[in-house]
Amino acid sequence: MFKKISQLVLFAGIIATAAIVQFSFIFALPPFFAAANLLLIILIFTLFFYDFRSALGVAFIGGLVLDLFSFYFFGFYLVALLLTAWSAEGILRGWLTNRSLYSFGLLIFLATLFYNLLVGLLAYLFTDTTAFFLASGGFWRALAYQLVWAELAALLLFNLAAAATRRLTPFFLEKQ
Amino acid sequence: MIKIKKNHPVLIFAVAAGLLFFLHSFGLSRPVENLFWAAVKPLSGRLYAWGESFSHFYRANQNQGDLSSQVDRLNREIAGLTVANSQCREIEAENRKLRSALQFGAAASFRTVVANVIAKEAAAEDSRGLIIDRGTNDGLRPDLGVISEDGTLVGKVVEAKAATAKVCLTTSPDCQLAATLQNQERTQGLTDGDLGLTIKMSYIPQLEKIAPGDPVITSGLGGDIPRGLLIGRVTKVYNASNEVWQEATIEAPVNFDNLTIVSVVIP
Repeated sequence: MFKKISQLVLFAGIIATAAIVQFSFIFALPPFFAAANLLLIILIFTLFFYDFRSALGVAFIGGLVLDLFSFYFFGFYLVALLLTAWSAEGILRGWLTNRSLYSFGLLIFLATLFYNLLVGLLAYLFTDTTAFFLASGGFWRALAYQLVWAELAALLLFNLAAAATRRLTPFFLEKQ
Repeated sequence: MIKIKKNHPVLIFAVAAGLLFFLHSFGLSRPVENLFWAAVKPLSGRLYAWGESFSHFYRANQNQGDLSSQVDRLNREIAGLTVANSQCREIEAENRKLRSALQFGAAASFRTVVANVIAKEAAAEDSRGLIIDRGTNDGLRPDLGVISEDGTLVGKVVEAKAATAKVCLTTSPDCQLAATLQNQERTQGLTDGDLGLTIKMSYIPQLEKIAPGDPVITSGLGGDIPRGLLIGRVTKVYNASNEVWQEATIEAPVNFDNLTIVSVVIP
């Protein structure tokens, strides 16, 4: 019981720290670097290598901390991250049948796309932003930068995970 | 019929999110939030300073080529400003004498609270605002003006907690300010942010004469922001004959990406 609680506290601490790093460190960097979405990368990594329940935990704790920092209404990031986790789970179960680098790369690509469209739509609908986000060059530029970071992270994390476990190494059935 | 299990993870997290939203809306989570901010403030401040240092280093390397031309331009600007400053000092001394001769009340004064920037929000499109390490404990409240180190107005407080406050930048679309143009007519209008990049001044009557280079200051109307704080200078005027109002684009003399220390103006 104590072990489980301490694991839960550690998990929450890591996710909350990642959210603080996102707002305090990453957003202070020049535009290309500021586009990196650390929480989304952790969310997809958790979904791909652990389970859906843990990924929802990442979305919940990360979204909560981001909402405390955010200038949008409370719940903005919480809803965006929970819905992204749910849709990524749907894509993972329905479309991607193996645990390869290609699957991980595609999943992180689609999740980043979905998350940014959702955040843009929520901001357009519920805040006083007048310009339509899809017509803005800034939106597409930031999305392109974020996709580059997401794919780089996918490449790095998958190889690190493959080095740490044997489960990800491919095997082939050979005729005797 | 679709059946949802009672312990379905999505259902559990959706209920928990709803509960949090309820607690936050009614201010019941405020003590926990204040505790969170008190714990997070030192770490956030340190991380933001590192991010800014990296950003500064990166920009300095990017713009190395233009440095010599920038130095020349700035030297010329300093020479012009030195002359203007000495003239202003003369006028200020004369103004003080005249005020005392007429027994006129002293010009409005204000105190400032210096604060460190500990985080900022960079949304997909724009930078919406900053979080500073001062709050209601230091006398801050919503609608107070925030100035940079050189005294330019950079935003206003939108939300104040016990130990932290959120500041919207003048370039943010939801940051409206009452402003005055320093032209002959002392034209008044409203400024708000334009895509997080520049400031837009609207509701300027068609007959008012405005020109690029005119300084824009706060008008002191309708709020806690005192009159006379510099917002920026007019760079472009939009004057269509079929429109009731004119619009102007204003550029602030501040790099909003470099803000690490700001001051909150308390009238």
